[in-house]
Amino acid sequence: MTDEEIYHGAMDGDESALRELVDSTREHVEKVCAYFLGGDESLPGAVVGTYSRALNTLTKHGAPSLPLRSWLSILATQECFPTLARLRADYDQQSRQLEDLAGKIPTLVEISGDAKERVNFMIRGDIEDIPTQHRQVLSMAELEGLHTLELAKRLGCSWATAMNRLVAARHALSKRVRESFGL
Amino acid sequence: MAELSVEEAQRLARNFLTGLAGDADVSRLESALADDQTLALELLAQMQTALEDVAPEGLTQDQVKSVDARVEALVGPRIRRRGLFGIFKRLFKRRRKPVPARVAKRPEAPEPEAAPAPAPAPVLESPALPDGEGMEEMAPIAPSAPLPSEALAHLDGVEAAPAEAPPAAASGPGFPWLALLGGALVLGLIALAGSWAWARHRARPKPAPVLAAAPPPSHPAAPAAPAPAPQGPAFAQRGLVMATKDGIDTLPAAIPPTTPQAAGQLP
Repeated sequence: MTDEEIYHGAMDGDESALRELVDSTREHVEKVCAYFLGGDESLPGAVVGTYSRALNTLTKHGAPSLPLRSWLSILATQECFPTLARLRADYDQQSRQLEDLAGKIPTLVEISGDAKERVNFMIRGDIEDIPTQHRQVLSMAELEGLHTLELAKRLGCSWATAMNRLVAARHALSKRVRESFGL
Repeated sequence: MAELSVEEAQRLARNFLTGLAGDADVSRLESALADDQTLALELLAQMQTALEDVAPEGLTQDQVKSVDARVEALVGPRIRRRGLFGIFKRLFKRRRKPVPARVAKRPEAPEPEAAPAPAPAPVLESPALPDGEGMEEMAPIAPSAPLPSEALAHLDGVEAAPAEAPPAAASGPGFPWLALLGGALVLGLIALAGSWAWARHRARPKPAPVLAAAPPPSHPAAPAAPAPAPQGPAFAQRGLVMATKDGIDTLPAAIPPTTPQAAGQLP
């Protein structure tokens, strides 16, 4: 069945075309979503959401001019992006909280006037006291300076998993610092 | 929103994935992503490149089952069922509707012998023809030519809801076959009924042996002739019995000899 036949058959409610639309692309859609969200709890929802987008788009706007797999890749990326943006927002919020925390430690305030530099000093001082699995991630991100994409590559995981692990590691460090300084 | 240039799409995607994007860039990315397919592909390409085309772990077994069920729930309601019952229902729908139109035309005709009124305009030329009336006439005109979707929509538009109606179920290529199937089914039923009636007919007792076994009371001393074995056609059997029992002269004059043998015994 060609892509055109699948598009038009699916719009017409043809069962074989609808099945072919899902069966022939299911692995591909899962793979695209896994690049962004592999290991995250939102992955199943993204796969289902991709097909929901595809079927709704076919109903409302007709057949696209792109090949089926390329079109679904785009839809899968669009479906994954809100989760990525939410994780990004969580990370930014946590960065601000860490800066506030470092600003409450008199020694760090004396050492540096820059909020980001204080956080860096705080991490260096307490990184040995956090669990090992967090220490590795925090070291790569905060001490080696790897950004999220490089972190994902180094860890062999998705962007969302890299971000989740980084957030969890920083949370463990924050908890350790609060306990140490009674904050 | 205007599409981004390739360079701008690459920059936005790169900054987002590396964490360098500011709030303004993230907002721009969010708004552009819905319309700009290049941006989505750029995000994916950079992610794939970073992971060297090795996708991370996907769904677990439990998640696969869950996703299967949810995707099925999406696909299932969109499937238009075209079962045998539905097809026959559509056939009867289409055949029932033209009847009132023909009945309504008859009183207008002054004489029954008069030539029937000319057929209405061909379907393809009549934009106001409702409910697909005349589709049977349309099929021979263009049996294999693909009909434009607009024409199909107008043919089916009144009868079926636009979201649910199969647009060309009765006018599609399968329609004559289905009609033939229905006809064959009816013929089969008729043949079955006929064979049943014939079997009952064959099972009835034959009248001829009854005549031979019971002699009339006017000849009580006459020896009972053995009933001849039924051979040959039924009319020959009947002639033989009558000749043996009552004599040739008792044959009704109205009955002509039916076989050459019988004709030879006549005076």
